[in-house]
Amino acid sequence: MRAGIINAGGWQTHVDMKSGRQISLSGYLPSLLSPILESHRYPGDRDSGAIPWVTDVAQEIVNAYEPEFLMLDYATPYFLRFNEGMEGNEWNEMISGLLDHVSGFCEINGYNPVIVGTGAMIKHQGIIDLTGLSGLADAGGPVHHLATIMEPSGKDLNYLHAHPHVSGVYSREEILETFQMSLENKKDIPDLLVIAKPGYTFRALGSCIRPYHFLPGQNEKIPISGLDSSVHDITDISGGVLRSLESEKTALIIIEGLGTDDLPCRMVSNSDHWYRYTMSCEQYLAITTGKHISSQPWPPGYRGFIHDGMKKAYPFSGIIDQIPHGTIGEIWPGKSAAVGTRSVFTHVSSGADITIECKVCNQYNHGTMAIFSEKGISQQE
Amino acid sequence: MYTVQNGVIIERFPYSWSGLNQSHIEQFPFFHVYPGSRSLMIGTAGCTMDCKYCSNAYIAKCPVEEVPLMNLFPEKVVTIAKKSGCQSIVFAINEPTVSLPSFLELAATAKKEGILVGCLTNGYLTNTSLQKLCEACDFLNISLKALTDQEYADLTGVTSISPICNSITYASSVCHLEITTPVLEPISSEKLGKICRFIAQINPEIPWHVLRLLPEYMLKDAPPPDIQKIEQILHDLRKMLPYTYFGNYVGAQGLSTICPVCGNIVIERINTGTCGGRLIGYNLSNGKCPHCNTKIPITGNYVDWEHLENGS
Ligand code: SF4
Repeated sequence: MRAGIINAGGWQTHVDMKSGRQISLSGYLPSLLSPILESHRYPGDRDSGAIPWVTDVAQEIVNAYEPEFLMLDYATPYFLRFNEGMEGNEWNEMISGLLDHVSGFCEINGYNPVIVGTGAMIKHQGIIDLTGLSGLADAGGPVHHLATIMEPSGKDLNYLHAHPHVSGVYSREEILETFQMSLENKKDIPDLLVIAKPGYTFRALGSCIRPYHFLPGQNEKIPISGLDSSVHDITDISGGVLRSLESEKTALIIIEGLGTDDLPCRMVSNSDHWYRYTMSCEQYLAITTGKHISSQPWPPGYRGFIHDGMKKAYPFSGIIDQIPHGTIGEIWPGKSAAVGTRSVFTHVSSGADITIECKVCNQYNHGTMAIFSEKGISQQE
Repeated sequence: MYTVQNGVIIERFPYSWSGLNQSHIEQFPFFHVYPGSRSLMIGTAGCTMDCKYCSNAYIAKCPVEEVPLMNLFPEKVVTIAKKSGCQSIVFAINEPTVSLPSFLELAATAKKEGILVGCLTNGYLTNTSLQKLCEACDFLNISLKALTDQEYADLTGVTSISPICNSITYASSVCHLEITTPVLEPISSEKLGKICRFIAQINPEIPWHVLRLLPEYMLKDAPPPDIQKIEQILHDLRKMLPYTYFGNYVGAQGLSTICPVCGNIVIERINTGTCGGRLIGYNLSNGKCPHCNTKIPITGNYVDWEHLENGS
């Protein structure tokens, strides 16, 4: 059983992470994590105070639990760029402060820092209007340059293929063939997946209502530091981290919005066929499981919303309806922990024994959550 | 938003929507209408109030010219609702009366196509708008933020509460009504008690949603309200208003419908970080408690989400 402690502004409750129902937890881990949640309120996605929040919480976990594998994810730079339009010196100073911050943390606590940037962001340049299509266009989800179309007409196809800001139009058959997906229900894949050129987004059902300024750049390469030269591809990172763990404590540090200019170091490939990973569950899972899309549960454009009924299980967040296997935290036999500001992605992608993450929905700050994996719970017994 | 042209009041941005989103009906929140069903949430931009805590200020309180709007005629919105398997269209992002002609036209088109219509409103309406809104909607959720003129003036900028009370009284007599009360610090048991009594004397079966506000906009640095304190106050008030719900915080325990006669849970909901709730159990049989046969006031039947998928 996976279990969690929810902390909403100081009020706490325990939940069974399968059903979402309230339970009563006792033991070492809840008594360890409850006061950490209580004393570290999450400042919010667009608050730069969320950067030290990650490290401060991680420090408490390291002091008490001493994990060998630690995953820290920092989504704050993404939000500061996406929503607030941070750029120039302000951005550079924030990033160099963040890098100093994590280096200092790893040095004090004896972790080999493996830093991965999810890729540079670029200025928003325009919107592709899909509201005139006769098929059902849906631009919901965290990746704003993707849209799905159901039942497109011939005219829709002509419009999309001729549009100067559309970079790719892929049919269900092409998606299934490219990624060799073995999905039970083929309708989980849209009739068409449409990808906008870097800098462009879509206007359709589900498109983002909040104002935004920058977007993920659909980068061919992303920066990585702290691993040897055998790591060339995003899916090599988890193996590199596991090898590093054989000889030393290792911290995988994921910094969203960090590009190759921000962290001048080695670069690794960030693609699977024609799909460029972008800040999303697919990219997190490629990093932490070493698996490309064909072996992931939710391919780009996955229509998870159709399964969002009463039968859907844990953790009721977007498309996520299961805990993926093969994560570093699941494979590493020793102790593992994660702290992050990308809500549910943090524990889903880390597979760590214990995770503390922010609980944010559409940027409304509901508080924080601690999650114990089955392994974490069995280790305390 | 309106302007006067040749002596006639007209909408400045007709058929211009800020967002279209599929949503669970429980998320708005509507807890006693077609449980489990899928809705198309729509909205425009602007509002008739200026609530200091507004969670949607980026749409409701910024200049409408700055909001990227989608121009879609009512027929197109209804087509999107049908194609995406939505049983209803709910105006919810901002205040519907700022775009009343467009919304009324959309509602009429939706009804012709068998789609239900609902809205969330602050209730600050003229009699004419109120009647038109009630005629257009199958269900309404009116926000009742306080019970005195002074509190309304301090919190929302409008100086009289009487239009809101009038809206609630009228709407309860002509359509399905749920009421939402956002709570901020300092929490007052007296204020919550007064609101509860006001609703109960209109109809004790009205569902009342007490929301723990996550203040934004001018109050973004205000402390989040004390959950335990609110829950203690509501514990007693539920005797007066049995369908009282307490939510808008993750892990909320006060979202399930409890049979007022035997005390069993008849509809189970949790909060996973949205405004309303998420349905996880529906135990009514023919609209009645399966344990003691008490009729629970629900408009419409349970709808299986996955059966709504069109084209699958
Ligand atoms: S009535 Fe609603 S939308 Fe309007 S200002 Fe108040 S909280 Fe915002």
